[in-house]
Amino acid sequence: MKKVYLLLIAILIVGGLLRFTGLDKSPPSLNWDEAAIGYNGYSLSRTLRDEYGKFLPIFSRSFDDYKPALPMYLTIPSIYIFGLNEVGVRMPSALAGFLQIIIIFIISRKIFSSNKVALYSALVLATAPFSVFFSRSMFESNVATLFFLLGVAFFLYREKSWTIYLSILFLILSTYTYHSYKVLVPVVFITAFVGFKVYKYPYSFFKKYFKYIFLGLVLFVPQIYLLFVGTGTARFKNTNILLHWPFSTIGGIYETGIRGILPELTTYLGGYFLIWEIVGRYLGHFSPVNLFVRLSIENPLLIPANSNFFAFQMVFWLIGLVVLFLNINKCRVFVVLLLLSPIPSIINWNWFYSVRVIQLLILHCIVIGLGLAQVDDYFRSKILHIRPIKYVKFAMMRMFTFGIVVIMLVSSLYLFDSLMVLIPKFYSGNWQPGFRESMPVITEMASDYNQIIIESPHGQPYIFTLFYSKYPPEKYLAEVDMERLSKEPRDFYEFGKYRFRKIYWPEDRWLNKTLFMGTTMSLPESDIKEIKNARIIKDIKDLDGNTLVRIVALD
Amino acid sequence: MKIRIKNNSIYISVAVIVAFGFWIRQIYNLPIDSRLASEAYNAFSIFKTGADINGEFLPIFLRGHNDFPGFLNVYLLSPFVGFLGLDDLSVFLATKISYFIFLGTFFYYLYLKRDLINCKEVFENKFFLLGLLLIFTFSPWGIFLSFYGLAESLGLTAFFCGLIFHEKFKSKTLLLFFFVLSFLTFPPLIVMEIIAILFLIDKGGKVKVLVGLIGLFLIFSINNHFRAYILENSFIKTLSPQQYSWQADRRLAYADTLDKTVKLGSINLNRIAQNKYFFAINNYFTDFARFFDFELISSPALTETVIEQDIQNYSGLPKIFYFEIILGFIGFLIVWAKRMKLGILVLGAILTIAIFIREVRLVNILLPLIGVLEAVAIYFLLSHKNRWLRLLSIAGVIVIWGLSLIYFYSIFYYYPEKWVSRNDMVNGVIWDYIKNRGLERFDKVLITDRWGDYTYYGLFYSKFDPASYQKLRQEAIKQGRYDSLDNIGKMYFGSFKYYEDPRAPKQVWAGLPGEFLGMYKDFNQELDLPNGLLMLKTSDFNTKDPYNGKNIWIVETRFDQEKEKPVVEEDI
Repeated sequence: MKKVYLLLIAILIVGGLLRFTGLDKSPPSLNWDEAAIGYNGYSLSRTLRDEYGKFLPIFSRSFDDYKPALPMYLTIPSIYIFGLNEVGVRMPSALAGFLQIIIIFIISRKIFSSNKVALYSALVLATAPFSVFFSRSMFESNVATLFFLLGVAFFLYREKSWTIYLSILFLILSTYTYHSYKVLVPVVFITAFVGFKVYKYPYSFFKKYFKYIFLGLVLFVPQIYLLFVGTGTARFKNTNILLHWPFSTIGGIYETGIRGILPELTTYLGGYFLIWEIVGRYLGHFSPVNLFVRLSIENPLLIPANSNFFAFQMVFWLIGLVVLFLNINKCRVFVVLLLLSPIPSIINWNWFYSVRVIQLLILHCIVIGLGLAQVDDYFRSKILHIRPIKYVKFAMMRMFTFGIVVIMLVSSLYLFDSLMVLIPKFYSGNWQPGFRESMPVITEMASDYNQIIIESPHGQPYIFTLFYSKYPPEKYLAEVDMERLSKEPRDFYEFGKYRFRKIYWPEDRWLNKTLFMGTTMSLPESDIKEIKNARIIKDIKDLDGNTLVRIVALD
Repeated sequence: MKIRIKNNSIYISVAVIVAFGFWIRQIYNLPIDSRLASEAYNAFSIFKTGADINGEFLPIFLRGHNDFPGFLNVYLLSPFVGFLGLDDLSVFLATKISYFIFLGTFFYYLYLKRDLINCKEVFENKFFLLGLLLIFTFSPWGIFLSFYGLAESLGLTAFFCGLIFHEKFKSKTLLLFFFVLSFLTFPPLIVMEIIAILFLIDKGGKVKVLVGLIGLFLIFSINNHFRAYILENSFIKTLSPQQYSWQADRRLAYADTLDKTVKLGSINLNRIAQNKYFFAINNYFTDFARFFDFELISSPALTETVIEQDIQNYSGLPKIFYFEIILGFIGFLIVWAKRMKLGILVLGAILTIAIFIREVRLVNILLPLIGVLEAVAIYFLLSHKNRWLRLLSIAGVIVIWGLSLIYFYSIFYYYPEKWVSRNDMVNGVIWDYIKNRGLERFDKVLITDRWGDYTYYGLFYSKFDPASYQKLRQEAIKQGRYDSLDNIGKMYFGSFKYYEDPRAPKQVWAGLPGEFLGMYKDFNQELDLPNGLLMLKTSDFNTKDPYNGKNIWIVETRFDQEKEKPVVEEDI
């Protein structure tokens, strides 16, 4: 086997270890999106319907955010193999993250015609904190990114017609997997049309490429339909940048009064500030501090002590960027992709939200790989001119590579430490803990009680209940009141014996045959001891010994 | 009638006059920052006594409390504060003039070394020169440097003077003389100087000059203060164990509480946590990356949502406009692609950052270079063969730059509280009040220590007698203390509890509402201050710690039944 493939296998082993090891331990529990994807996948596999009873949906309503249903379908095989648990739900994302390493190797090798750039890029991605983190949790965007990269890879190898079919297929599939790609993929297509100067000879172009365009349009038609119906844009309505309108960076102008002609002028410059906001966001995606230093301010995306990349990689990223733009003619496709990638994210209100731009972060991996290869080449070219003993020279030429590999591996160990130690210990609160441990207890006792009242500080407790109790979907669909469920926004969650509301012990203590799941605040031990037929079944504690959930039975 | 202006200097003169008008306008309205206060008070001390605040006679490199005011900047300030008085006006006048001189030397050097950019016509083009001048005079960072960048301006001036004298008169002695002045004023410039000698000056005698410069630098390093500055601000400090060992210790402390989860199979994760080299390298690159935080320097107000943590201690005025980043990058690519020698200065600046990684002021060295890169980019865009690109560039530059300037100047002139550092603003307000009331009427002045380097503000605004202060400092230094003093004459600095501390007549107290009434109170209600009268309260400001209130109160003690009760609200 060629040396380059052996090295790729070694990189894959490192990437695989970081992604697959302890998938059920870190992150310490499922978040509500993962639980929704997992349970809906389970439901689809058993009933061909989602939790709202929709038959084979393209988008599932979920928490009124209309999640793309494709990730739910993708969880079916892994849930079948591993069961309805963390590993079953997360496996498609972990696999996608793993496969991305191979795809990035293929793409960068094709673009830069260099095994070295390809290997460095693959190594950077294999150990990149953002990629490892997103792969260990079921982020739809991570799976969508795999489809997008596959689309790009097949496009790069477009000598044969079947690769173009596959390229279109995967690019369109990405739009059915994550919202961002509904914006990015059309922008990429439009840019490609402009890039190929289709406007100069439209007739001959469409004649030549009609079959591909037809396939693309056919696959994309449901998206256009859903766009008009509204379900395709439901998420965007809640996250778009115009939620901040009107823009003004001079706060308090109305409180303090107008102090001159200039401030008055600036009040009419809302459009200008909008452009500033958008361009600022765009540049934010190329900001070294966002990429290499700053930790995520979004709790569910926080990787303790790590940014998206390791800080030392910034130097190689800067070098890679300069090399890239100086050789822009050789890698136009890549530069265009790099420049287009932030677009889905800049029209949202978040300044920098890494989960929306995984494809961009992966392209940054290639830029870092390019920088590393460049420095490596420079280093080797300098060594080449000196003439020490043969083996010394051999060792010296590989010194840079060896050093970088060691630094990356050590850094990955710290990343692993962060994932396995810091997240479960200090940031488990970001991952809605407590349901995994408590639901088996409740499920076991459920048959003996008339109702189960659940109070949780976390959002969407009903989906965790469904997921961790492995509630039969056919039973759920039969029990739930579909008419009330059809109202938007959803305000009704009851099913079977399960009720989701605040526990008010002074009143609830008079209920019979009831199980309670709540916090120690709502179920104080002293109050429970006062009631004869009440007993604490179990306290679920976190690693610090604090009680997360208390289960109380009222016989 | 068509007016033709043949002489380029008329364009430039008009631009300079207009720019100077812009610079000078805010000179009365802004408070000085603690660094300028330190430089100015040391200059005042040297002017009055010939010695700095620590009593050192005509020092070659100054040390303040825990800061290093420099050299040339302090000596240049001396006549200003000595003859014009120790106040904001004289300090800002000196900084403005320094920036003006810096512009002159920088431009003259660029003109002289037209081969810095391989295309000579660029620097002989009047539009390029005019554009460059406009960038330097109207850009936010230009304004910023002209107010607060005294040491940087003078350090760079000396640096370019050295290069000019070498270029014009081939004088290596003058080159070395100015280079020494430069690194004594702003020590990180030593790296730029070495790079300049290696790549920018003619070949003859390069090694001699280099050896001479490094030798002189080493000789000056014998000076304790100079050496302390180098150790404090360079990578040596970043890589020193006290900077990172706490991270490893904290991680190990975590591990102590959960010994089960840190072991994964046969891998003991605790063991790797003890490897402190990782933390050291990580710290270094984290510090390095922060210099490239263009979001913060281009639009701090906008990025508030994402960098809430950082914004707390950062003044809100953009130092560059966001589009300048793109122009700067394009300029850099052009410089690189055309192998212009200008790139050496840029790389030199980056290398300077890599070595003096803890010196936050270094970003000010990068900014003028970004300005030149921008001008290069604009020039090449405007002279591009594609007509549409040319037109688009002209329209883009005029519209976006115009709008940005309107926004910038509206904040700059009318909302200083939105961008001036809060510490400077608060101390300015407190001392304005005390000075207006007359410092002599108080027996004791108590000021909270929550707002920056309180001692310097106190010394500066009260014009405290330098000879007396030197005595106080020498006593402190004997005890090994270089930090700020909490008691200077009648001035006391520190947090207080007005409601239980001893009070006496003729006192003025300045602090947060919680320091007067206690924490977690409703500070908007009717007040009943024991033996005190609230004389001034500022408008609210954003704070993450609102338990002590969100503004500043100034209270004078009253033990008689005086009824004057002028509560003045002042914007901050």
